[in-house]
Amino acid sequence: MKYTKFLILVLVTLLALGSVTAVLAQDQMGAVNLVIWSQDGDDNNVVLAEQFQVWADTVAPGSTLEIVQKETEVLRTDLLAAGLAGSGLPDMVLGPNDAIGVFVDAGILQPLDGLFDIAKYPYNIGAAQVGGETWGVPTNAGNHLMLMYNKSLVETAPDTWEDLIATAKGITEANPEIQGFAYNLNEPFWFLPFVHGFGGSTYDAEGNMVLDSQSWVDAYAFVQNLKFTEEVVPQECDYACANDLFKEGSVAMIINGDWAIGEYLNTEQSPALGEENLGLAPWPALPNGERPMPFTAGKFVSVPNTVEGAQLDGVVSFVTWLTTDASAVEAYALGTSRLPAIAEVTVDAESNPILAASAAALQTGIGMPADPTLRCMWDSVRPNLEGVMSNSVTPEDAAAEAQIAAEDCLSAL
Amino acid sequence: MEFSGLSGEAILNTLGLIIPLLIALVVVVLAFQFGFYQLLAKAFKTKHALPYTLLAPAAVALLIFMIYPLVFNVLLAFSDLKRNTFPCYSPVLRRPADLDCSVLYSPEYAANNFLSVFFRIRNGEISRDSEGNVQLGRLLRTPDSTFPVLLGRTAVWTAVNVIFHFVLGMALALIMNQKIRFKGLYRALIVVPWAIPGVIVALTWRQEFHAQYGFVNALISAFGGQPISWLDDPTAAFIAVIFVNIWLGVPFYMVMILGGLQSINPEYYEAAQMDGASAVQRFRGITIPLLRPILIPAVTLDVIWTFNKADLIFIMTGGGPQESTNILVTALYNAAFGPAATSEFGFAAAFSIIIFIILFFFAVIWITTSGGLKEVYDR
Repeated sequence: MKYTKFLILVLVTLLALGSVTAVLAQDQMGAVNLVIWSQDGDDNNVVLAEQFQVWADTVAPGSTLEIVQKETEVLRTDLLAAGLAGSGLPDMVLGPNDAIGVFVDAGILQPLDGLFDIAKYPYNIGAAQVGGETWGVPTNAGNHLMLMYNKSLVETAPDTWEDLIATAKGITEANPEIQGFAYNLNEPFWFLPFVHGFGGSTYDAEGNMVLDSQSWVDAYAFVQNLKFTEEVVPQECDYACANDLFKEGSVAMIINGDWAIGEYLNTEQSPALGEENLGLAPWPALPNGERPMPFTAGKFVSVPNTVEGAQLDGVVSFVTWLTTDASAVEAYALGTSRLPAIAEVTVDAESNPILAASAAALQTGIGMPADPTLRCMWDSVRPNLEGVMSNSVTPEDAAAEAQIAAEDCLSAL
Repeated sequence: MEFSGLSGEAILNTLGLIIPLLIALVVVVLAFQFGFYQLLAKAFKTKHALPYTLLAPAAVALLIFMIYPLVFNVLLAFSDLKRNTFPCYSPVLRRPADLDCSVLYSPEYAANNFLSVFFRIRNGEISRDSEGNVQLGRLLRTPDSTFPVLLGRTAVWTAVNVIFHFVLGMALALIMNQKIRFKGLYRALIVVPWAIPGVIVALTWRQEFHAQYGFVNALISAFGGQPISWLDDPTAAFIAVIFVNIWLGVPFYMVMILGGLQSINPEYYEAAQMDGASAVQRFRGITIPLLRPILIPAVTLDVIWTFNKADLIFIMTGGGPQESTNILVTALYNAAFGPAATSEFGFAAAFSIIIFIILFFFAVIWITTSGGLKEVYDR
């Protein structure tokens, strides 16, 4: 009897220990060595690496993450090349949504509907859906263009383009060394919001690409007018020009995307800005009363078709945690000055007015489709926009030519 | 965590991978040569076993790095390889149910690819306008991006560059060949453009040609001229890229010609001078003929390099504005890797073969008619 009690005690203890071990085993997984190709900047990749370490310590001790930073177009060409070669594909791809359609078309990605709880990403999951399937999960929402201004030069953000033109001219008149307003003049991504503001779009109701409507003509005419009639933008200005001049305080207002906010808040990188001087606002309203509507999407993690087994389990576990765990989202999205893509994490306007302003600007945008044909639009609009901005092509001809060029491009797909 | 980047650790890691690979390569080559020599000398009892053995690694390398890519390129021209047919050509890619992969290579694909370089092809047929005229194909997006237009622009780009390279290089070499003070310093300064990486040159000049903030317009304004929109105006942009490529190419000629000039025996000039030959006569009668073995290969190489020079144009103008600075090779790059991401590799392979044929015929005709390799053949 004495021994029986002792045996029962030992058994109960063993059972209890077994249960604890089983629970731990369920939560933990074997170490995985993952590779991610990231289009994000180095600063953001440092945060990503830190978050991976947090996940690895908790879920898969000993795991490693190799982050390979690639510029947008390099990432696209390299991934297509690796896919065609059938080797060298990473375990994850992190980038904006506009290449997802291309990768889906080329058969490189695998659908994620069965792997992730898609309902957890209510804001922008549509930007990663092609053919009714989901090909990426968002790490943040945004990638939207907005008005950014230097508060030491502009007291309040202009609410209309009329105000903006007057403000910009006033600043340059007062100080000829300072450009009132600048943006990436010949880049279609900066031009599309005007088209949307004038009521246009890239596709009609039947899904046909339509680049030759009155809205497109109006948008071309408007930007041409900004340069040649109002003369409020520099003669030539690309991304680097607007970005660099803004950071050093030589431009009062620019149009740029949320990806630049982190850089502008850092006074070492942007001596004229920082939290004190950086102001964000939605695009000013056009003469028709509508605001230009920037494309919105965010950054997405996609998974190549070749990832399977333990690697895939590791990817799903890490990405699920990174994109849905509140502390991870706060650290990775908010920590990199981006907006969260899940409803559980919100931006507090009082403690984070810059991100709150970015969120307000995001509301004025429209979702950017991941349609692979969208690239034909960008490619066809660019030379015609350049013609308009050098005053050698009329808005009407630019719209008509872009349509022909787009049809040519689509026929090659 | 690992980051790709040029850190000391990354360099050491890379060296750690490369050095064993190089050692292994040397061992394999030596083993191959030893085996090959034994085969030739012992089994076939060849008299020339040693020279064949010494040439063998170069022949194998030529086969792998030159012949195989050429053959593969021809094979690609017979394919329909483009973005949405990738899954047909790669076993690891996801193949949609409606993608027909029954024929991977065919003469029909080749015909379509080659004809698309010149004509607008729709549903396998050459497209015609409402008046029944054949429509030329666009190699880029603008109406001016047809093959004849791009070939003409490439010819202008190549000719202007090569002529200026030659004339300025010759002039500078003749000056540097004189007894002048600080010759070494001048020579070093002139060679600087050649020593700077092309990417840095292109990026620097891109800034210098900026309409508002660039040095070029500041200079023009200082002399009372009107600023020019160098990178916004099609003609000005083309002039700008030509100017930079001339600036880049002159040192090559100067160095080549100077080397040639210094190898000419001065006694020829002294004898001609005693016979009363003028400077022009000495130049035409002595300098040019004796420089010919250097000049012909230099011009041939320069034509091929300039014809294929895509990097400078890409970085300075991206082919713009309005695709006006594109030449044939930039259009070719665009078809394979351009922003539309159509990845038309079959078409691009056919296009590259046409460019190869143009350059091949140029080289053959030029070298034959100029007698540039006469001395080599005469030996």
